[in-house]
Amino acid sequence: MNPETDTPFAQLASKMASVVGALANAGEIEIGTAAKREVYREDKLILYRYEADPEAPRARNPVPLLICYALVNRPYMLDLQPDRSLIRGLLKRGVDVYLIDWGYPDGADRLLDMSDYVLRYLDRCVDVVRRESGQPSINLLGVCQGGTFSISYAALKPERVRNLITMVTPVDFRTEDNLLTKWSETLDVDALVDAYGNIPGSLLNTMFVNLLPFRLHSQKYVQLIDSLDDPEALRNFLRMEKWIFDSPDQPGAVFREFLTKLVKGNELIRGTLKVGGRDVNPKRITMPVLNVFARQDHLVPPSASRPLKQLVGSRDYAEHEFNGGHIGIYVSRGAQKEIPERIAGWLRDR
Amino acid sequence: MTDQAPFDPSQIADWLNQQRERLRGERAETHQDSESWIASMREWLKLLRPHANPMFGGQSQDELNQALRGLGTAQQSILDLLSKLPPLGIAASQFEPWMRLQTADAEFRKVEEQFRNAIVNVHLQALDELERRLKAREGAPLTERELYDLWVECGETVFTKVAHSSEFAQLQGAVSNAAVRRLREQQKVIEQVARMFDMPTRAELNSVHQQLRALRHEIETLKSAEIGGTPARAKSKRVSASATRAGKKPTRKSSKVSR
Repeated sequence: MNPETDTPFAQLASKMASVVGALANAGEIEIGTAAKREVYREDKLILYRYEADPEAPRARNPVPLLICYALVNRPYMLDLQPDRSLIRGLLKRGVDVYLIDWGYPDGADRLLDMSDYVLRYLDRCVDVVRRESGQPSINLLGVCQGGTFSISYAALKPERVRNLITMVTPVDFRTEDNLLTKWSETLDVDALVDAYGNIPGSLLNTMFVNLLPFRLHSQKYVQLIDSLDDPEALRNFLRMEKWIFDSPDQPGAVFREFLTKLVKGNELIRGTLKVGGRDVNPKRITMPVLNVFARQDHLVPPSASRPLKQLVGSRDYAEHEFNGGHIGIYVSRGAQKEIPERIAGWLRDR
Repeated sequence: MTDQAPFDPSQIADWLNQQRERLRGERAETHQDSESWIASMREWLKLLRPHANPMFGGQSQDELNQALRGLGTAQQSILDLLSKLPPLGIAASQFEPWMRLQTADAEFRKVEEQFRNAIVNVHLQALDELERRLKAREGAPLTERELYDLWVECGETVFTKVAHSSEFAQLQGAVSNAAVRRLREQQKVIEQVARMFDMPTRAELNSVHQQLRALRHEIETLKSAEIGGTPARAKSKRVSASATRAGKKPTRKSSKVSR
């Protein structure tokens, strides 16, 4: 036996070298390929409308759905690739989909706060969608932090939201299993924002990856050995990897407000949240609400999302618990039918 | 991966011990500044020994080491003392940012070392957990990949426990805050240099951003007062009117961006 080449670790190292070669030859990857057109632009924000799926049922839902994504990472997660796309799944089921792309904030955007995002940008996008569709109110779907924005918006302008859907959205930030909250407990948010201006996406990524350090710094790359003979699986991995580390910076002011008021102060649950000086009263959310969360979500545990039920004033509240994680709810094979079917079906009935 | 030869248990035991030794070494390497300075000086003196002995009056290596340790301690004491000294004299304002940076840097290094040790402890405990689980398997063979996955599982199990503790959260907060304080002091030093050359600074840019933001709000308020609606509505009316004149649907832009 040659210890240089025949020991189990040497074999593992040799396979990892093959992985590097396979990745280098994986070719170009495409993301966010569903057809869409720009319908509105303001500062760095772009509002897109997706083209209807020709195979969709004729009875298209007349009320459009506006998706409000988080400021963390990029919204193409919702249309990562043709066979893993919540957006395509919704289009296929006759939903008219609009999506807000917040862009990449830079130093000039460091003073943007929650009132800018909720009462200015989101409100104007809602206006554009209302105008284009001729509907007095529209369906609003908020993702993660975008869900928290959407809840705030629906509470402030309920007459403009026909149905509210939240996906993996934190509502109660102080639950026992919320590691991000625990870690931010002693963080000097003001000093952080003063020093950085905008909070670098790379800094946030480091924090997210450090929640599961052994898996995310190492194991997920070693697991590529299993995909050595599957170029498509390698490309899937590369798409995910691109999304994970394609992290815009967070405008300092909105980060400060989000951390201070929501994460540390838990003001949404306590009923003390104000946006732009206006009270956010979730009891004003009387429209139908669908709350979708993921059972194995390590970023926004279900315990953080569930309290929405007690918070809102709606009598038509439904939950959907997906058996997966924060990302799997969009890109896993199991989610591709389950999630769009649930959302489109729920909307169809309302 | 099942076609791999299983591990010999003695190989695993050796590997575990090697890893423990490496990790303990990493923890031991976290010297104070003065200690690392002494260590590097000692290496140099080994090389220079034939020439150094006459220089230091023919002292033995032990005596030299002792002398160096004394020098190192003195160096650290002087640095500590200087960092506490209030800025004095005509150049005080020039020195102050540098002294504050030195203090912030020392604080960061101290807490960062504690944090690093906490992470090393997680790894050591993960190895203990791995050993425990391997023993529970009672010698059942496993491949290198199975061993690796088991190690990852042990690592995450240990880390989850540690990460949820208030001690770890405190330490994590402390190291982040210390890093931010050091960054802030570095920025102040750079701003001072920029001002010396009449270069724009971040503080000035921030003021400009504040002024622009205030102006923007003011303009929007004036516009809504003038038109009697929200700015968005006003814009939308304008776009609708021009689009109708052109015989188009009232959208702001309709370029296809991707397919």
